[in-house]
Amino acid sequence: MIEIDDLEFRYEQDGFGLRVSELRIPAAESVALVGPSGCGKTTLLNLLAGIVVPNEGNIRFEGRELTRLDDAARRAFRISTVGMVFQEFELLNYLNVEENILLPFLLNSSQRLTYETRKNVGELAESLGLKSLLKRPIDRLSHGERQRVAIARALITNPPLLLADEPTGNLDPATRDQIVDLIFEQAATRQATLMMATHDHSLIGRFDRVIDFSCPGESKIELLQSESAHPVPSVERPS
Amino acid sequence: MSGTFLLARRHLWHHRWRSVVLVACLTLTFLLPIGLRIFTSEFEARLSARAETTPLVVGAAGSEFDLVLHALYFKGQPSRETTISEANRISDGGLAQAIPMLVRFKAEGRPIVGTTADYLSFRKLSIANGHSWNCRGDCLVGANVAENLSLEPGDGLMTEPENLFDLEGSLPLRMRVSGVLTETSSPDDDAVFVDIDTAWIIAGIGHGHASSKKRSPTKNATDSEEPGGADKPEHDPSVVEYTEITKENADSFHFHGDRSSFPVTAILAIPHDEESETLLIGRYLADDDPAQIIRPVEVIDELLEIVIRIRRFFEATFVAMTAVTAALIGLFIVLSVQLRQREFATMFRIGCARFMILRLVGSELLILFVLSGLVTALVIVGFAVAMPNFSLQS
Repeated sequence: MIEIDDLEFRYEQDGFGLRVSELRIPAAESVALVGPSGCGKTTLLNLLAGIVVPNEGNIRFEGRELTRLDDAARRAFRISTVGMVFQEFELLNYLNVEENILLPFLLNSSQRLTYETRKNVGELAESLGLKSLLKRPIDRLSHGERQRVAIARALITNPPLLLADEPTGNLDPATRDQIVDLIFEQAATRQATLMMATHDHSLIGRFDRVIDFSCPGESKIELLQSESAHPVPSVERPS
Repeated sequence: MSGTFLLARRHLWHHRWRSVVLVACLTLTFLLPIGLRIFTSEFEARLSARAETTPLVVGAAGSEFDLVLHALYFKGQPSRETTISEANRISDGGLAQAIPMLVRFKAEGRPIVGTTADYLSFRKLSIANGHSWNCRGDCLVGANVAENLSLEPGDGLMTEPENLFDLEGSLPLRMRVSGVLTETSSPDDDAVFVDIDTAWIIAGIGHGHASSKKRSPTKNATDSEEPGGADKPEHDPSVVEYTEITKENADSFHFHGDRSSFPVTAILAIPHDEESETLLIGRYLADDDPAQIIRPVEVIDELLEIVIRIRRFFEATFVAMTAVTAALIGLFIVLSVQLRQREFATMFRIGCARFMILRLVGSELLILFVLSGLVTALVIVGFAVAMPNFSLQS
C-alpha cells in the first residue's frame, strides 16, 4: 500500500512543484498516471522512488515512511523495492544484455551477485523473449528488444513496486502492445504495484485506476507553478 | 571482480581506441622521464666504472676529454699522438706499469686496439674461445665483434685503409682471429685487439715483402731498422708487399726507423702505489711537457656534470609535460563525466550511490594508469633485453 498525505514538492530551480493532498494505492494495483507534458507525472514517480524528497508531507510504502529515510536508506529502498522503466530505455551501450539486466547488482556492493541471481536472469530473459540475446550488445537490438531489456532490469530485484515512465513512448503500435502486455503480465505474476505514466489513452482501459493530473479536484493532485502546463481534456475513466 | 571494475573495464573496451590513445599518452609521460633516468644512470655507471678502474692515462698534450674517451672507450682520436718512448719513460721510472695503446685503425667498423698482453690482464679479459695472439697478424676479437661478424678462431679479418683515396698509404692487412674474448659489457666487447707490432704494421711502419734489392736475406727477420741503417729502401715495382702475415712470410716483416719513435695514441699507467701515482703525476707538471697525464675519474666526473645538467634540463621539461598531460587528462575526465551525465543519472535512479559513480570513474583511471605502467615496464624491459649495451654504444 502506498499512502501519500499532504505532500508538497517544489524544484528549487524553477519553482515548479506538485501538491498531493491524499493518495492511497493498494498493493498490486495498476495505476495509470495521465496528463499533459510537464504536469508532474514523472515528479510523482520520482517522489515514490525516493529519488527526490518532498518539502512537506509524507509518503509511506507498506508502512515505511520514505520521507524519514536518509540518502543511503532511500537508495537501498530504491534498489530493493522499486523497479523503474524509462521511455528512452536508459540502457548502457557498453554492456551486453545480460550485464544491463544485472546492472542493479553491479552498481551496489550490498546486492550479491549469486548463482541464483544469474539463474533468475536466465528465467527472466526467457519469459521476456531475451534468452538468445543475453550476450548481444545493446546497439544491436531493436527498440522493442531494448525496452524488454529495460523491463528485465527493473524486475531482476523482484520489486514490489514497478514504476514506468512512458515506457511505450518510443515504440511502434505492435511493439507497444507487446511491451504493455509484458509489463502487466510481469507485474501480475509478482503481485507488484504498477504505476505507469503514459500519454497513450488507448492503454488506460487496462489499468485498475487512472489518475488524471489535469483534474486536480478528482485526483487531489495539484500543480504548483508549472511553466508548460496547459489545460487538456480529462480522460475517460475505466468503468 | 567488483561491479564497478567490470563496468569500468567494459566502458574502456567499448571506447577502445580512445583508451589506447590515453594509454599511449600516459605511457609516453611515464616512459620519457623514466627512460631518460635509466639511460643516463646506466651511462653514468658504465662511464664511471671504466674510469674508476683506470688509474692514469698518458698521452700527447691536448684535450683531456679526447684522450680519456679514446683510451677508455676507443672513441675519437686525440689531436696528437705520443711515442712508445713515453711508455718506456714511465716503465723505466719504476713508478708504474705502462700499457701502450695505438687505436687508429678499424676492421669492419670496429676499432683495432694495438697493445701488449698486459692490457688483457689489466682489464681482466679472458679468452672464451681460442688463444691469445702468438705472432704478428693474430688478433683477439671482443664478444660482440665475434657475434656480430660471426667470427671464430681461424677466421680472417681485414683492416680498413686509413684513407681510401691515399694510394701511397699502407695496404690493408688480413688478420687471423686467434681467439674470442669473454663478454665483459664494456667497450672491449666491441674492439679487436692486436699486438702493438701488428698495429704498427697496419700503420705501414713495418711491412713484409718478397724481395728487395737492398735487403740482405740474413738480416730481414729482426725487429730492427731496415738493413743499411736509415737508408730508404729503393722502390722496386717488382716487389710484392704481403697483405697477410703467414708462417712462410713472417720472417720478412720488418720495421723502418727508430723504434722508440713509433707512435702510440695513449698509454695506460698503473702506478704501484699511491705515492708512485703522486710522483708520476708530478713528472708531468711542466707546462712545456709535450705529454700529459690524466686521472680519468676526474675527467669523467666533469663530463658527467654536463650529462647531469642536461638531464636536469630534460627532467624539468618532463615535469612541465607531466603537468600538461595531467591537466589534459583532468579536462578529459570532466568532459567525459559531462558527456555521461545521462548514464550516471540512470545509475543514480536505479539506486547507485554517488560515490559509486566516483569509484567507476576512478576504476577507469586506475585501469588506464596500470596499463600505462605495464606498457612502460614492458618497453623498458624489452629495450634492455634487445639492446643491453645501448647506453654504452651510444
